[in-house]
Amino acid sequence: MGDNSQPMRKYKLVFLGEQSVGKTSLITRFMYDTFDHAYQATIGIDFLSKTMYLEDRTIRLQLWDTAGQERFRSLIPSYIRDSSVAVVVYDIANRNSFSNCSKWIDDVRAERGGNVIIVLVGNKTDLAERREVSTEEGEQKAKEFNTMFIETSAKAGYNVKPLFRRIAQALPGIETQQQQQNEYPSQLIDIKMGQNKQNEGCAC
Amino acid sequence: MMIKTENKLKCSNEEPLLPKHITMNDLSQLKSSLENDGHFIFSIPEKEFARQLTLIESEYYKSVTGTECLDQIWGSKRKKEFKHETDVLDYPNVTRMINHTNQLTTWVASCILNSENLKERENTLKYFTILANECYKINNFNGVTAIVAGLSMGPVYRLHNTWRLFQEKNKELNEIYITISDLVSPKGQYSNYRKKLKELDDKKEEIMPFLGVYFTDLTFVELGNEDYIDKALNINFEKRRKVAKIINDIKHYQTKNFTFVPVKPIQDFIINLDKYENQPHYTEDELYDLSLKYEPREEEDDDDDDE
Repeated sequence: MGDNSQPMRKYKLVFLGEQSVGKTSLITRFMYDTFDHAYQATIGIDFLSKTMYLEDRTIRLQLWDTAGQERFRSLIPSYIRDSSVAVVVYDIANRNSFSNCSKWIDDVRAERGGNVIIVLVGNKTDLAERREVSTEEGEQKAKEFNTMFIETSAKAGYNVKPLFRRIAQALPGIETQQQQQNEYPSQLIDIKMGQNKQNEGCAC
Repeated sequence: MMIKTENKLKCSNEEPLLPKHITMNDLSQLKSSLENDGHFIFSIPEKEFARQLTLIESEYYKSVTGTECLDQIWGSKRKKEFKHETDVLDYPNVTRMINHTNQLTTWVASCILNSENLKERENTLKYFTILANECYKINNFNGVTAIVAGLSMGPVYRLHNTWRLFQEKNKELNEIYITISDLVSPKGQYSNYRKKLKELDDKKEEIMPFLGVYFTDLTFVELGNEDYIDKALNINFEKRRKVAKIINDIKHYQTKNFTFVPVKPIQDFIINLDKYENQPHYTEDELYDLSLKYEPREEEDDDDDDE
C-alpha cells in the first residue's frame, strides 16, 4: 500500500477473457521476457507491476489478471472497477473465446462507461494452421465496439511489446480525466475517499 | 481503522439464534416460513445466517480434491490424453464451490434490486453488510468475498441514493464494511487478504478461505514457469515445488473445523438458493435495467458519449 511518494502516474490494466486464451502468458512474456524462467523469483504479490519508459514520460502499469478465476464469473466486476485499461483476450484458434469477447466488453462498458481504453487481443497467432477467427473478423469486432485491436503470440513473443507500448501511448491522452477518475471515482465518492484515508491511518 | 477481533468465537456450540417464537425443537415452522415468505430470510439474525453459510461452505471446500484443482489449471493440456472427444475432465466439487459462490453473489445483488422502495433497498443493504461482517468475524472469507462482490456489482454499486442513505444512517457499519471490502479486494494480488489469512492461521483460528486465489496462483505458476529447464528436458522441479506448496495450502485449510450447531431449514435455503421461487433470480441485464429504473443515471456517471 501507499507508495504515494512515487511521482509516476499509475494505471490499472485488467486482463479479461475465457480460460486458457493466454492472459497470463501475455503478462509473463511482457514481464519476464529477458529473464530465464527457471530462475525467476517466486511469482507473488509484487508480480504484476511494471514501469514503462516512454519518450516523454515514465508510467507504471499495474496489471490485474483474472486468470484462474474465470469461473467465479460474478467476482469479475470487482476487478474491472477503477481500471484505466481493459485488455480483452481471445484465442484465434478458438471461436467460442472470440464470441464471448462481446460479453466481456459489455461488462467493462457497464462498469466503466467511456472512461476506459479497451484493447481486443487475438492471441496465439503461432497456431496459424488451426486459426478459426480471421484477422478481419477481429478488426471488424474492434470497430464495432470501438476498441483497439492487435494480434499477438505470447508463446512466440510476437507483438507483445507493441501491445503494451500502444496501451502506454494511448494513456496520456486521457490522463487529466483519468487522474480524477482514479482518485475520485464518479460513483460512490464517499466510500472511495473513506477507503483512502483509512489505508493511510491503518495501524494493522 | 481496525476491527475488533478479540471476541471471536473460537468454538461455538451455543444455541442457534433464531427469529422470535421459533425454537430448535420445532424447526418445521422455520421451514414453512422460509418457504412461504420470501422476506423471512431477513428475520434470521445475520450472525446465524453467517454460521450456517460457513458450515455449508466449509463442507464444500473440504470436499475439493488436489487433483481437481490441478485439472482445473491443466485442463487444456490434459485433453490431449483423451482417446475420445466426448471425454471431459470433471471437477464436481470445485464446480459446486464455484456455483454456490456465484449464486450467492447474484442473489445478494438481486435482493437489493428486488425493491422499488429506497428505504427497503437500504434495509437490505444493511442486512448484507452486517452479514459480511459476521462472516468476517468467524473468518469465512469465501462468504465475505461473495457478499462484497454482490454489493460491488455494477447495478448495486451505482445506486447512489441507496448507498448515501445507508452511509448516513450507519456511519460505523459503513466504516467496517469499507475495511472488510478492502480486505478481500483483488488489488496487489489479494495482498491484504493473504496477510490476514496468515495472521489468523498463526493464531490457530478456524478459517474458511477463498478458493479463487489458489486458482490464480496455480495459473501463474503453471504459465510463468517452464516445464523443463533446458533442451535436454530436465524437469523444472522448482515449478513442481511451487505447485505442491499451493495444493498443500489448500489442504491445510481443509483441516479446519467449524463447530456451529446446524440449523437444517436455513442450510436448505442456502443450498437451494437458486431454486427458491420466492427469491429473486435476476440476470445481469435485468439487474441493470432495474438499477437504472430505480435510480436513473445522474450526469456524473454518463458515458460522456459524443461530447
